[in-house]
Amino acid sequence: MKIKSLVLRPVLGIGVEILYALAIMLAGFIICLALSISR
Amino acid sequence: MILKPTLEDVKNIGYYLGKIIIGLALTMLVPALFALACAEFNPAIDFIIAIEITLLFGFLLTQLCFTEGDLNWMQGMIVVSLSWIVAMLLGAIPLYLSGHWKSYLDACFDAMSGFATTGLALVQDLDHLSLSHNLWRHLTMFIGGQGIVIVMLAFFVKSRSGAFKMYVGEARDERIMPNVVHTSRFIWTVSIVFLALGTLALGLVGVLNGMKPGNAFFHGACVFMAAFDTGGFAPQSQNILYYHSLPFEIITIVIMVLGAINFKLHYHLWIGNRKEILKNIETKTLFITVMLTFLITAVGLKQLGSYPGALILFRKGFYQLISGHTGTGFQTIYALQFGQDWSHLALVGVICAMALGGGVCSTTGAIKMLRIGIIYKAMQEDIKRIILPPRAIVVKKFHHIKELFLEDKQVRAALLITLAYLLLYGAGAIAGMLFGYPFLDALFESTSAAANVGLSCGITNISMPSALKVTYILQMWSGRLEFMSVLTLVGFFVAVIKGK
Repeated sequence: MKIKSLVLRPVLGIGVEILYALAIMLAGFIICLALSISR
Repeated sequence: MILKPTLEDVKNIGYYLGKIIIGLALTMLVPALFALACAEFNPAIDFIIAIEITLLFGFLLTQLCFTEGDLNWMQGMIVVSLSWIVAMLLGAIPLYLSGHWKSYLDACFDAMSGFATTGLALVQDLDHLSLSHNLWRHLTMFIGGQGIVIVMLAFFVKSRSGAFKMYVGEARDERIMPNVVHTSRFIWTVSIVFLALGTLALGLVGVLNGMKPGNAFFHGACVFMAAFDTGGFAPQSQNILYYHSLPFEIITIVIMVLGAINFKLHYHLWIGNRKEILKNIETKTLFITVMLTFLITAVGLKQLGSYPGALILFRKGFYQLISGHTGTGFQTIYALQFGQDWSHLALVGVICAMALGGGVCSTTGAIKMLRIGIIYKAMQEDIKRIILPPRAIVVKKFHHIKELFLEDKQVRAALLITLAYLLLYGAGAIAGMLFGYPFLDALFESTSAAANVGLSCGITNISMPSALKVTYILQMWSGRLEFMSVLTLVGFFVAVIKGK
């Protein structure tokens, strides 16, 4: 139980934060892609 | 009637200021010991001299102003605003002694830029600066990002009520835990955990790119401190362009976004409330504003056709944009390229991004996402009131850790701070134009300084007028502290002169 609250939850929390940052990056790249193929 | 400050006021301010200065001296031990470990003896002497002066000043203040009294609001605010000025003056000593800064003012400029996590730099021949001085530059960002006073609260201050007043004065109006000292310690825990992870990731990329392991992890640690604290210094003069590495750029983007997240949100995500990231007003606003400002920038870049491919547009356009929006200031282009390769529309997109910033209670500067979200919700509410029948009751809520009702006082506070920032950006731009710089360049550099970003279109260099250097120092200082403690300090001096 202690391991779950001390290690697992923060690790999953960090994972979610990284996914959020990657989502912003991906959305930015999609805009780049869309603009580069549009005339 | 204005009351003249009492001797008790001065003693309380002096005593707590002295304690913070002693804390600052202790942080200088890190580069001093690092210099000795790396056999950099001349830099070690620079740090020993700076530590001695800082300790002497701190001990003098604590002895002369010794008091057992607690801080009131006015005193707490003044301690905070003065501590940032004093930290700049003392933190600049080892920089100036290194000989890499043309004048003490230039060293002060970089010290304030570091502590305020801005990233504008006047250092000369950075590529040959000693490792320990380079570490100190980045450490100022790590200390300033969390907050100079937070360092003291986390490790040295016993008084709880006085601690809270200083905590609020340092532009951190959110209590993560009921106890402000525990809040400060949590902020440091998050920072240290990410420091370990970020340094490891960046160091490994450096090693894979062919850097020597020691050098790679030193660069990793420095770049992490500048990225997570949304600072923008880098160990080399070419900034992030030096690494020529897409993985390095991707990792720094992740770290910059992590730095722009509210520490309260970090806390709730770390204790298991993971869905908060999808519901929180700040994360939603950040996502939307990044996309909108990048769309403006990308269309602007397409006008000139500077970056025709998707990947190059991402690495040059999106990177500068996210760096500006999170208030970091890392660059993968040369400063002068903003003037040559970027259209006015693209620059306007980046200026808007810089002006907005990241989350409140994060390491970023500028207006911040919670305020933008609140203003947007208030506008929505007003429009609904106009459209709906007069008898309809409009109740507006927003989600920030929990469901909150939108109140007029929140809207008023958000609008006042936003207005203050806009005035600060404008004032700096006017100052730049007074010295002959074009409007857009002056606005770009002013917004970058006041929003603690650090992107530069070329105005910031050693030959710019001293008065403009001082203007940017004041902008970095007041922008980082979000005005209240700075205005309290001004009021204090008015009371000293005019009070009865």
